[in-house]
Amino acid sequence: MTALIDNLLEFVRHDLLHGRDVEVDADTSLFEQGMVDSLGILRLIAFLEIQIDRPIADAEVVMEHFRTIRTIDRRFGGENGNRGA
Amino acid sequence: MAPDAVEIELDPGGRIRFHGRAEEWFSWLDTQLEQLALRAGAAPVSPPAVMPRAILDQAGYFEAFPEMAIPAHDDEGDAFLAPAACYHVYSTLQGRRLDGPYLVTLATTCGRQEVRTESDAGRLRRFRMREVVFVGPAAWVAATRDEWMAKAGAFAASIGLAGTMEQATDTFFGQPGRGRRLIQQIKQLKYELRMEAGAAGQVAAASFNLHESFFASRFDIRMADGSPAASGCAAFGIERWTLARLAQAGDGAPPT
Repeated sequence: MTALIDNLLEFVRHDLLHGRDVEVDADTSLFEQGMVDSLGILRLIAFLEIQIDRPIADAEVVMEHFRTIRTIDRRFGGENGNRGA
Repeated sequence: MAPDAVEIELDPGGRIRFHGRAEEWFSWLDTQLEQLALRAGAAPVSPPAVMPRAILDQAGYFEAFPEMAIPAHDDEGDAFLAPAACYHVYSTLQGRRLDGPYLVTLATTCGRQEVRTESDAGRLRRFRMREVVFVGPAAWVAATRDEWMAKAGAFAASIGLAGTMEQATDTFFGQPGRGRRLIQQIKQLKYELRMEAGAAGQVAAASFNLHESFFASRFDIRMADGSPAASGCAAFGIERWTLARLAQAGDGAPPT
């Protein structure tokens, strides 16, 4: 488990879901059943930008990269020393 | 050979009138797209000429586009030209429990207060839209949308039209803003078939949309087992198809 995965899991469970009774792990689809809505995606991106210390362009926000926390980590986890923690 | 200028008449109010060969292509294209839908199993629907305000209110249209609807003169009272043909379908299905997938096709004159220049033939304020509308389980709706992207591309190629399928994010429902746009991008809710249409420039001749449960929720449409229904549509702008065909492949007669 990388540091970015840990941080994103914490963020999704406690911030995006506000403690709702939903099971989330690194491979849970973030966009099914409305888990992440239009406000949620902006908050997720803002959180991720802090984690990797750079802005994320709209063109990078595609399903291939954002399907799950693990795919986010694959795309962005190597940035800003997040990999391998 | 380009069509004779007198065959295409654009009025300053944003309506186009075709004559002669251009009119032949306009009618032919609408008929062919309808036939394509009927062969795919869609039931034909004849929508009313105008749309009551209450339907657009319920569909959330004014929340997304407060100034876009064009009032219609109607004996029934407060009504508008339909901004898109498919609103009629959700209204018809109000409160229904569907036994299975629901597939229909319809066409109507649509109206939108588009920002345009007087000579812009690619962005009209009144235009004919043919739609194929699919309502049912989400997976079926998504697969049907993808099928229609393939059908439309194949049909365009069969009549000599080149186009590109591109992802778009300006869906005609929901709240505006970056968050909505990015969600639409991630979920691939909208694609457009874009074509070169001569003086009209690059136009989106068709769009292929997933609405998820947006309209089904607003019109209380569910599957028979109580699960939420989803909806989607393939929408074809007939004037744009006509302009693209005339620009790209000349003004020979349509096939008989």
